[in-house]
Amino acid sequence: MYVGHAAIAALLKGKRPRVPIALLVPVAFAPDWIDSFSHVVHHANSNISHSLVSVVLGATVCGLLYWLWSKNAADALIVWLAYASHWPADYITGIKPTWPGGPMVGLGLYSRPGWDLVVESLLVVVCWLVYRRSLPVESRRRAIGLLIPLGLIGMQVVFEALQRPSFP
Amino acid sequence: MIVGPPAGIQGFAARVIVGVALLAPWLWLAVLDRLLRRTR
Repeated sequence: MYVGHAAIAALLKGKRPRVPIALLVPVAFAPDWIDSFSHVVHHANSNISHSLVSVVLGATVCGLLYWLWSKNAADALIVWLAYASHWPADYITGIKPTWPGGPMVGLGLYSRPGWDLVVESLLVVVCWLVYRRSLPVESRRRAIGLLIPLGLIGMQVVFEALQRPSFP
Repeated sequence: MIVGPPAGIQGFAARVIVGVALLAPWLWLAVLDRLLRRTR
């Protein structure tokens, strides 16, 4: 999943506006950051970045760190959820590891790029509607707010096109 | 999200694309959220 992770971060921001979205988005993408960095240092291993075990571990570390900093368990839970949501979201679109030596599982929606775009776009819209409710009333009507779903869906289109030159 | 990039120049280009792909939604949401929560 690509922009779906950002959309989930926005949804969580909507549920808990005190937690900075500038934190929630990279936390929601954390396994991808780890994967990307592991390629740079030539030690790529999807078990380290994307397995169910590593995601639960990473989410717990991030949640605990945020709890230590904020002293607020509900906010820390939101940070935990942002990280932990990565695995079920990727389960829908890809094939992901469970635990070292365990099975690879997932629905593999990436093999159907059109459907992937539809599912991620719907997720973006639903999450944006939840996020929008957390905004001041006068901001909800501002046209600039529409740039959130439109921009994210645009990024998804570019992402699909870059990964598959034949898209759509 | 992203499959590991190949080696060489193509690999470097792929890493740049991955970096931009990870940064873009982060900056997009951070900037727009700040604008939308700013009270006049």
